[in-house]
Amino acid sequence: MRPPLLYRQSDAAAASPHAGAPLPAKCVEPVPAALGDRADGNGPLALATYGLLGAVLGVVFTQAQVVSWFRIYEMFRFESFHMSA
Amino acid sequence: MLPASPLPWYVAGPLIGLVVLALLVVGGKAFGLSATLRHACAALPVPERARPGFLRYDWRAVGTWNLVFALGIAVGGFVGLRVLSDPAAPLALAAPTVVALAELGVTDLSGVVPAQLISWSALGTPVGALMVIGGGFLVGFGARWAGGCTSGHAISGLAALQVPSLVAVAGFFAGGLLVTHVFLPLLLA
Repeated sequence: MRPPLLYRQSDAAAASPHAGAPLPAKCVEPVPAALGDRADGNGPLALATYGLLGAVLGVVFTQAQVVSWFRIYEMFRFESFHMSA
Repeated sequence: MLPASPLPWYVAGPLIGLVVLALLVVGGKAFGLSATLRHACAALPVPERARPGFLRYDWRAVGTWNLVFALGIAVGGFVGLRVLSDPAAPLALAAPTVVALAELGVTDLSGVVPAQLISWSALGTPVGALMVIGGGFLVGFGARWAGGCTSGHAISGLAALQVPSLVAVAGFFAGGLLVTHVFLPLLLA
């Protein structure tokens, strides 16, 4: 007996008439999207805001030295209160 | 390279938390960074049928904000290091840490990473290549496997009282302890 034709999600664009219903795509996990529908977030002003918020975070990360390999090493040795608490 | 006295944790922590809050208020975005790796892979010019289902989505619609945010962090980090920091100021590390580093052969404490372990010249040595290439692979693989990195799990996930994030963060910390106390002494002995 012939094994049943397997249908892959990638065949959706050119579905074979022999194929049955599409299998549920188990390996496709949902992409985390926006939590709300307030803004699509792709307007120039929104993107500038995200970029600016990122820049703030970048300055905080460097000024607080949390980006330092040495600080992280120190933290894992529990020899500084700075990051291990 | 970095300022001698760091921005205190009680200032830096709330500031990071406020950025997370601002992302939520401004656009309803959940703070996280490792998804940018997925968006970057999804943005590669690969034919639609050849790409795995995991990368078949509209990265422009859901990922642009995250990529711009990550770019902003890079720009902010550059400004923080090159403009706002005193290059001559030494890092005020705890004395036992400095001793332990010397035992590992790390005596150059300048910069954000030890140049003796992580640099172009160190990349030519077996240990240096293992640390940069192997470490980079593990960071990427682990963040994907855990469904998030330290920012997504430790900052956003824990704040949202997610048990899986707590498990992930415990794993991050256990991994760090293991490398610090077992692997680094073995590799650099």
